[in-house]
Amino acid sequence: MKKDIIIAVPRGRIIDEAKKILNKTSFAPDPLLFDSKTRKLTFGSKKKNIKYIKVRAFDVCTFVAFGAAQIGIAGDDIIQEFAYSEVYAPLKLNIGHCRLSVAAPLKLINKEDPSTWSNIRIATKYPNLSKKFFASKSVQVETIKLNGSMELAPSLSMCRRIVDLVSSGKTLKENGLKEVEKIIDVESKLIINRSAYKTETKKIESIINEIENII
Amino acid sequence: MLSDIIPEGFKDDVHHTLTEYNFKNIIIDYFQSNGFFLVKTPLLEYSNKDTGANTFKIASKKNEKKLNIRDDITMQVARLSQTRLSKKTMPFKLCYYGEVVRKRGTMLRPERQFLQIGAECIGENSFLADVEILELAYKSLSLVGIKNITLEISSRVFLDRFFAKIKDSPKKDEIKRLIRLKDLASILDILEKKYHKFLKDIFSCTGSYKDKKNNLKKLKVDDLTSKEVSNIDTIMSNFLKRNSKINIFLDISEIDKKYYHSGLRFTFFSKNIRGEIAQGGRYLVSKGDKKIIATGFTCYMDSLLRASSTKILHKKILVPFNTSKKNFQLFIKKGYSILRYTGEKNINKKLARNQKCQFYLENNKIKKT
Repeated sequence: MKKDIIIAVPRGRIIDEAKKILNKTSFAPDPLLFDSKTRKLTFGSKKKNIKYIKVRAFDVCTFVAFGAAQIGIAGDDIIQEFAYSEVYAPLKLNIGHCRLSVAAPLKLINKEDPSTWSNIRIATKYPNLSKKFFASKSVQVETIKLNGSMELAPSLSMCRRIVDLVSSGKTLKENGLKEVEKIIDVESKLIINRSAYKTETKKIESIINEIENII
Repeated sequence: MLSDIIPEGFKDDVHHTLTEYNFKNIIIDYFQSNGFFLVKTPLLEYSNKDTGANTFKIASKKNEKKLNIRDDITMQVARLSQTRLSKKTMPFKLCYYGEVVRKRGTMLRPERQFLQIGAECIGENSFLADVEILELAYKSLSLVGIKNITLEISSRVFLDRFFAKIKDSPKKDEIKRLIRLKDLASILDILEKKYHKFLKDIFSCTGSYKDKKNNLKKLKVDDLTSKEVSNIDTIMSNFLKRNSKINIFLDISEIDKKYYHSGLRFTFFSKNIRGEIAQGGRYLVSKGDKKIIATGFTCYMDSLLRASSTKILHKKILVPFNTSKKNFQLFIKKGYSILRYTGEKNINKKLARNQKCQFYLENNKIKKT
């Protein structure tokens, strides 16, 4: 039995940018994929054997690593946070540009001397990347894993720093925070499942090549 | 009271035990029929400097030697070949099976106890050893019902050459991470321009072997790389002569996690199956200052069970307790698993079904449930 190729697309801010690329392909998705009101999670495409699934941005890598989807769109932040051995990221998509940064409450910045810290408590969705970043400065990290509204944590005395994605910095500013250090630049990439790449090389390569020609 | 919960990554198995037993026997029988001598190595070893980070260590008292539970049998077999079997005339061929244990599982592979099966050819320099092990691995996987097999071939020689060139680069670790991700564009952003061509040439050798094998010629930059290109060509042309239908993927940009293979390395994949199902290649066994070449392959039963389409079924028959010896022998000969009924009722279809038997003996006749 021939199995469909499944492409995992992240819901949220990336999907509008991804739409511009995917709609130009010969396997453009059912327009319903881009409808934020739909509760559907699986979608067809112009090609019979290519399907799409819409999942949380943070879960795209996991779906691809397990082979549930052969291809996906994921940011560097997620690729590096999970660092799955079963995931390749061969193509930059030139969308979803932002950065993963450390932010601190404005009113504390001038009163603190981070060079004297041996440990720090932070709120983040990215415990692995945060630990790695602070370890390079010989600082031990205690992470509070939050999945959203990170900006509230310092003002409610949960922690002194947050690590989160920053695009314009507007959300940070509105919540009395300031970006103090950049951890990594983030860009969305086309990711592929390692085993699928080896066993269905022609199909996967043709999808990569078509997208590469569009961007 | 003891808890019924067992540690994460371990399991009581009632569903796959028979299949696992049969697969193991099929593979070991095949190894032995090809002249591979079955050996057994211990479950426990003394800790030493080579102990891996994922090895299960057994706590001991201060004055006692530290022990590990083995996490890989390949190295034990290599040790065996250089100690207890050191006087044996080389080359010789060994095979093994046994349980191995890991300290930690991962989200992708939470299992921590596996049945490992493998075969090693020790002390053979000829490329024919690689061809034989490749054929042995391919045939073993086919025998246990694994279909749509892809063979990936690789060699670390080319990336070693590349890393030697950039050994002083502060971005070496980042480049390694990006190579693992096959993110060539990001590497080129941070790599000095003079190294671009060689890395691009390495990446150009990723894809279907048939389409990409000619690109290997570009990588003949010194004696070592030229020798390895010829070596790959010789091994694969010999292998393909007898196994022309297999799908082959060339990938010399693949970084070996274990990093002990010294020459051709191969990995088997199967369509729609997560991760690799078997792997192997050429490596060096040390004995004092002496290095001996070995070629082998290993696979883990959890991967084989996931990838195989074969279902081993019990042909179970319910028979009266006093069934004659003659009938017993006949049923065994026909491959039945015989369940003797110890109750007082007469055997019938319903009773046999309740006992999960596909057949039952009624009035000396075999009937289906």
